[in-house]
Amino acid sequence: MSRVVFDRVTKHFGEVVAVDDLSLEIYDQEFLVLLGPSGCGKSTALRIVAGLEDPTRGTIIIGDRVVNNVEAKSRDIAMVFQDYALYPHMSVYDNMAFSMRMRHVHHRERHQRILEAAHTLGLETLLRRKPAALSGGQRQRVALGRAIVRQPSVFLMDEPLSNLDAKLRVQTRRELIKLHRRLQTTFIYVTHDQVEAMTMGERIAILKDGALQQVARPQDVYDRPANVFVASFIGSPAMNFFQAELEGQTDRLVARSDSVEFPLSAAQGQALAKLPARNVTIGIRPEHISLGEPSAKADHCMLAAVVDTVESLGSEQQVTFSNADSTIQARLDPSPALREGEQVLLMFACEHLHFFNPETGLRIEDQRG
Amino acid sequence: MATRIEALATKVVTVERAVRRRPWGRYALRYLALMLAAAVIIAPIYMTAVNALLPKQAIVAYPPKLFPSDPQWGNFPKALDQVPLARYMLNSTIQTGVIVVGQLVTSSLAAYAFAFLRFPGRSLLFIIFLSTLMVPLEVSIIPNFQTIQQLGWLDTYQALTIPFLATAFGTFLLRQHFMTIPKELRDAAAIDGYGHLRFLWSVVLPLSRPVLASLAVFAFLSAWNQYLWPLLVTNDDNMRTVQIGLAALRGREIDSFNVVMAGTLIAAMPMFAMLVFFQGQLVRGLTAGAVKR
Amino acid sequence: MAVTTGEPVPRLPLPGLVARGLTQLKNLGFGVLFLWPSILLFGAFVFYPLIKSVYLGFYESDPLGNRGDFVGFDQYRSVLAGSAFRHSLRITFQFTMYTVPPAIVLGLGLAMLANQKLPGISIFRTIFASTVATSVAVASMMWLTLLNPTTGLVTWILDQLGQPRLNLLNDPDWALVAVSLTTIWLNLGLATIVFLAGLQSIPERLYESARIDGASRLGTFLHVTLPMLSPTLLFVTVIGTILAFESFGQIHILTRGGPLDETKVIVYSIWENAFQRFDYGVASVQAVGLFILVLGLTVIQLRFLERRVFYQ
Repeated sequence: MSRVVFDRVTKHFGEVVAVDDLSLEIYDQEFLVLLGPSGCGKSTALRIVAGLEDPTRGTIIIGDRVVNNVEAKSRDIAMVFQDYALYPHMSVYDNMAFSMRMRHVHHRERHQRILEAAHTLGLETLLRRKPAALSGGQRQRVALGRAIVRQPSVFLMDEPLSNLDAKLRVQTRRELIKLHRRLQTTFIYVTHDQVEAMTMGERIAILKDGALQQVARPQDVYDRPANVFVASFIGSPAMNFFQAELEGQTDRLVARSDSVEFPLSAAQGQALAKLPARNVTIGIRPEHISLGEPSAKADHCMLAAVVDTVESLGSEQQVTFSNADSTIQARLDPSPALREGEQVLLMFACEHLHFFNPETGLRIEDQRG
Repeated sequence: MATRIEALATKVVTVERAVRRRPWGRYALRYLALMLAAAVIIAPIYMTAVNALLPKQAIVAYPPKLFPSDPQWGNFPKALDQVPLARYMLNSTIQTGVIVVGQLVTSSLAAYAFAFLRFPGRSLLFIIFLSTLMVPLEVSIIPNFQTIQQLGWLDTYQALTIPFLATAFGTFLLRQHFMTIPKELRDAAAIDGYGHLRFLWSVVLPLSRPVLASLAVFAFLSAWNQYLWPLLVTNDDNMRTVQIGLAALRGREIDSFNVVMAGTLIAAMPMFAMLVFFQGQLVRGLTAGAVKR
Repeated sequence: MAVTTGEPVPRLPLPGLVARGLTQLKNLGFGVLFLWPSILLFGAFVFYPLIKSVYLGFYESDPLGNRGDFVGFDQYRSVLAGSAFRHSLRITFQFTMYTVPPAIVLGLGLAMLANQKLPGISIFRTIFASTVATSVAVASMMWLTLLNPTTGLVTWILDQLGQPRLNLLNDPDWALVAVSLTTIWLNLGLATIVFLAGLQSIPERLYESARIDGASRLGTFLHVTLPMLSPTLLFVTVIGTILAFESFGQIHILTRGGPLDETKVIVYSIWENAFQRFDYGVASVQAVGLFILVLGLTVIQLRFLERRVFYQ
């Protein structure tokens, strides 16, 4: 059993609240990503699981025992640090052997485990080298190897890919996914990179200022972000937001934002009726915007806008538009190729609108499943 | 109401856990060790201070008194009176001041040459410079003494200062630092028409203030604490430095031991002041060779 | 060594080779200008004396200190193989062993004590480092009080421990120990500062990694702290040995080389021969001997120990 549970965990550093009443369960053998901007408390949360920090309040459970008072070395975890923390004076072999030596594992067993891990990670030829003689990618693999030979119940990883160059990062991402499948052990992975989170996590837990914003599968976080922060953090280019006022009756509601009218479906209208005030924040993702024809105006959200900048990626254009008061980002087909200053008509796919309470930022659920 | 009790209960449990995890006993033990070590280190200084304040009869007390019940503050001016401490301090100050300034100047110039000027034989010359670190003063005292004697410099400030105006350690330290100055800066200065001296004075030295400060403190420490050389080249009581003057106290009024101790404290004051006010630079200068930063 | 230069842009545009040659010459000129003070001083007070010491060793000195007859290597042979030199060698080696290893162990211990994150720790750090501000003379005078046979604190402590009033500085068996004690105290501040800097340069991550790996406190010390400190340890050992061999001041103040020559280290013997007995010939031979000794010891230590030092 190697699930990990945060039960109302809070961590204060003096006046600063690093982790704020975090309750989260990570299932056995799950690959969970802790995602958030710098300073959101994800590394602190990880270190609390590791036993490197003590929570100010709350309980940490690994497996089925409370580990608050258990020393880091007895928690059956292994940690991969962002800067690898390899012992610089020891060879790769000795680095990987260290923890087993400290536990008096028999040398034959040690040797066996090291060879296996080295084989998995492609380190066989490097065993005699010292860390200074390795590249960044190689060091990272040694750090992984050091964790693997411990055969822990939980792997903790603190932004292990951020010191690698882009190409290596992509390659290592895939290797980590395969590794997880092979080892069938719980992975808790901390990162600020949403691409890593989306591609690697079975579930993503998003943190902001120490508080949990949402925990769900990647696709769910993308399609149904729990609040404005999550909506703007996930997805690149980021979601577009409009402040709108509701007009009309429940079944024929229109949300009007300065220059755009959003005719709402019955289901959407019903959900929005619960709002105390008549204001709402509307979000639409860049890929749900396309070029429109004036004739379609009737039941689509249309908006006139001027092209600001065009970034052509070959397979698509990422275009920034401006109109009276807002900037809109869209992902459009590569043709027709737009030019700066061009006047166009934009069309929003209204069934993909996201609605948020302008006061709380929370998502307003509509009646679609 | 329920939540408040819950909250209190959580606090109690957390505090209890904290206590169990980190018993106050462990902290107490650490502080005890620290205080014991501090006491042992401070003991000589403390006893000197105590003895300096004791009246004449009390210093021959046994067991030795640990606290002056009747502090004789008058021992301090007495020390300055009976022993030309002020003159000794002056000599030491002049000696140290000249050496510090001299070392800063010569090593800045030398380090500049080694860091920025490319000329044939530079590496060899640098190694020769470093080799002087291997020849300790004690080995060359006899010929150096003879040189001073022949120049007629016995009992003069020149004898105390000139042999020490150059330093390989300082040159090495500054060169290391000068080499970290980005090439772009030098190129820009060259384009602006800066000659070497101007570049050194207006750009390099201001950028090297911390290293220069460390070197100054280090040079101050070594110069002020010199013993063997001043012993050799000064005989006249007027030219003695603080260190030699202090040691000479031993032969004098043995029964006024408390005055001698007062004198010792006065002699030690400048260096302690230096430690308190310039601890950062001091540490940096002393650890320059030992630790990679 | 990656060394960068900055040559001032030549004012006149000259054809390549000539321009380069001119720049080289200009650099040489400035080089000489900037270096001559140091070169002159080193030449006069470091290299010339070394050669002259060797030279003086070839001549006997008369009782007035004037240069006497040329005796060639005979004086070298008789002095360096003589019992007096061997005696001072022994004393110096003993002194080094009494002062350097304890200073390292105690300095490291103090540094580790001072490296803890406790409130008020900086006060303790300053106290531990304080002896760096004491000169040889000041330290010796302070310890004179402590070692005083009738009223000293050390004497009193020994008395409590069952040892009758020992007159340490006058006892041939204990004088060197007493002088060594003074020296250790004197050097402790410096040792603490250096080791503390070394400890603080060890990345915290390594300790965390060792914690997770299950290393005990001893294990962490042996496998993380010591290896990472090895360059500092080497530095302190080499420099400490050199300084121990060059010690003079505390012997001059505390014991004057006695009793029964039991604290007569090499430098003291040199000084005594040269400036009390005016026997410059013999003293010069000793000085040359000291030089070779220190050089040799340093080379041996570096060779032997550097293999076990780990550099990053």
